[in-house]
Amino acid sequence: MNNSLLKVEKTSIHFGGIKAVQDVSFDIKEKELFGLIGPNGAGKTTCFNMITGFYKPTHGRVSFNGIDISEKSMSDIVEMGIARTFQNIRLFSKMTVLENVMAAAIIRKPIHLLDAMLYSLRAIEQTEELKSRAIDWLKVVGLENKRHSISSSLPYGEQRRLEIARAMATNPKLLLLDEPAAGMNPTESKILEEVIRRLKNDFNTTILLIEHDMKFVMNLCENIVVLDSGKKLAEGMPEEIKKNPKVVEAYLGVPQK
Amino acid sequence: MGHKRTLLLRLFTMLGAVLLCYAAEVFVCLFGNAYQERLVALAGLYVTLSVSLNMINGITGQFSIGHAAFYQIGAYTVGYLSLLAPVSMGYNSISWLAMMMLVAAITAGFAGFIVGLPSLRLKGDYLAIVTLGFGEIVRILVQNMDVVGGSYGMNVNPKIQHLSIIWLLAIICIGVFRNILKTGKGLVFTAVRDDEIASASVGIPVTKVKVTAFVMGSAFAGAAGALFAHYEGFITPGAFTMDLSFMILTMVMVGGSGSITGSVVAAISLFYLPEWLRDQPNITAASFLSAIFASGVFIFTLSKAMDRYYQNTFQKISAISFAVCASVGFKYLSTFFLELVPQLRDMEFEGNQLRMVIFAAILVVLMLIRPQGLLSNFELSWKGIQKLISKTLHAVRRGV
Ligand SMILES: Nc1ncnc2c1ncn2[C@@H]1O[C@H](COP(=O)(O)OP(=O)(O)OP(=O)(O)O)[C@@H](O)[C@H]1O
Ligand SMILES: [Mg+2]
Repeated sequence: MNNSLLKVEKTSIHFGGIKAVQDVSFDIKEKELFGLIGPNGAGKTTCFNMITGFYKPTHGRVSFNGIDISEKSMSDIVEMGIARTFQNIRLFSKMTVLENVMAAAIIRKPIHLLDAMLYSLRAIEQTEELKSRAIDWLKVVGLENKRHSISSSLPYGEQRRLEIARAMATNPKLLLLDEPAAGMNPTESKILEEVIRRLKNDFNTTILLIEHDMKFVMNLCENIVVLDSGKKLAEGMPEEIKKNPKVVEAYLGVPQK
Repeated sequence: MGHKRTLLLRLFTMLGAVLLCYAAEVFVCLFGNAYQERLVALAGLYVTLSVSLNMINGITGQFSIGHAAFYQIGAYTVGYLSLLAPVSMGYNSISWLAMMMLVAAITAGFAGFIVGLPSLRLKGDYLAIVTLGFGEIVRILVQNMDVVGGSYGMNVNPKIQHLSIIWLLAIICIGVFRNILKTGKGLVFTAVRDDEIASASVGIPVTKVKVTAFVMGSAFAGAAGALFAHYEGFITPGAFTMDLSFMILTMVMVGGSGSITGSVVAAISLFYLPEWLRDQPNITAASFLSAIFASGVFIFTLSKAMDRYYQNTFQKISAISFAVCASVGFKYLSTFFLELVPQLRDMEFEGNQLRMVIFAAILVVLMLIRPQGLLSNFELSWKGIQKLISKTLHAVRRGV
């Protein structure tokens, strides 16, 4: 349980003159719930984009399960077992809830193009299987009753949960959640917290999440990295982070008496 | 459970399709003249062309506007082969056609791969520019190739005119793409259309999917080209201009990009529309002008009425009928007033010249009142028909 799953080593990302990430390193162990926090523009989302292969690191390397993934394509990285959600939700907006999840599950259960063209019995069976897998994931996030709705018609909180179901349908070992509780009311974020715990406990998923809601992060995460202007400011358990004077000054603010 | 039944049913469907096509051919040949026969053949080719372009543009969300190029590649591949292998090497006409279709599909598909692989990687409108350019390059290249007759064109021997094969190709094209969309595999294509980044984030190999769609679409266009070459027995580069590409594109847009049913309906109706309009009586300038005003009134009233009454089908129908009444009324009224001007009353337009103007006007009106296309993303299916029937029966029973 103690071997590291994701290793980010001295990575930097530069956009021309902007250094969005500078010399950041952290280590995520298997089955860990890991938090990535920091003020706006700290480079958190950029880190996600780097891990998932959307950007290549300018310096440094990212390895997953001991394999260097810094030069791999996005779809290869998903194939290896990393999935993500987006800060500004990116569902397949014209497809139904069920179809959204099925489109993700298909990479673990590929249907051959020729089978599909002929609508062969195998393609029919595989499609049914895809459907039942997708429904299983919708049950986990509590959306199985909405499976025929168009995804963009769901309320905000449900769209976020659907995005999690879609990411989980690719059977990831590591799930990256970019501000999953943003814009949720307390009830919704309570449901979300339960879902995230279930993903970890029942499905052995390692989770890295970005979040601004401190109560949410401190409740959930076992380890936290704090970024500020692209640099790592601190790392440690929630208790340590809360007390760290640098973090308090840069991000958390003075605690109320 | 019922696997045998499914297979048997499918066998019957295929046999049925073949028989239907054959029956249609016999019917047309018995009761139609050569002109009508040719229209039916070309309509079938247009169906194949627009459905195959819809796979690229509508379903996978790319923007290719040079589809005629692949049609031409198919046609000229077959033309060139007929030079090498005169009198079809003793094969009977149907197996020869099948072979030629396959060769043309492979050649056009390969061309699609070569064009698509670099350009589909790029975002947005680059594909449009590349395909447009490619279409022109192919045409001009052929125009300057003396082996295939240059701009004078070439004969394709033998001339094989099987309407049934043409329509069978259209049915196979529709069937293949419908099948893909019915399985989970279809979601890969629609996912790429909806959001490329999200698709990549769930492991869909976006470029590969786009290239696959592009190659399939090009291959079907190529097969259609092979049939066209043998049907006409004569091909020139002039038959594959940008106009043709735009016509196919228009069919996809008007039918509703994303709807295969829509592409079929639009291909047939847009192909026949200019033909139906051929025998127009001459009309006076007054009634021509008033028709233009009336269509303006139609669009205006319809959009206003739709804004207010959009709740259910009944209200929609009333809104449309209201708009129709308003515009027809306006037409007569304005004709009456315009005819008071002697110049407008006496000047006549020849019907045949107006035909393309009317065609264009209909397209403009259509795109204004229904930008998502006639059928948007509706698909005709047995299930849908069954549902409709049972719904109607239910309603009737409740009424009684
Ligand atoms: N593609 C890009 N080109 C140029 N600059 C970029 C690009 N992407 C991000 N940046 C910059 O990098 C910095 C970090 O952005 P990032 O989105 O990672 O912040 P964040 O920590 O996720 O902030 P937030 O909490 O607001 O989501 C910002 O200054 C941003 O403007
Ligand atoms: Mg962010």
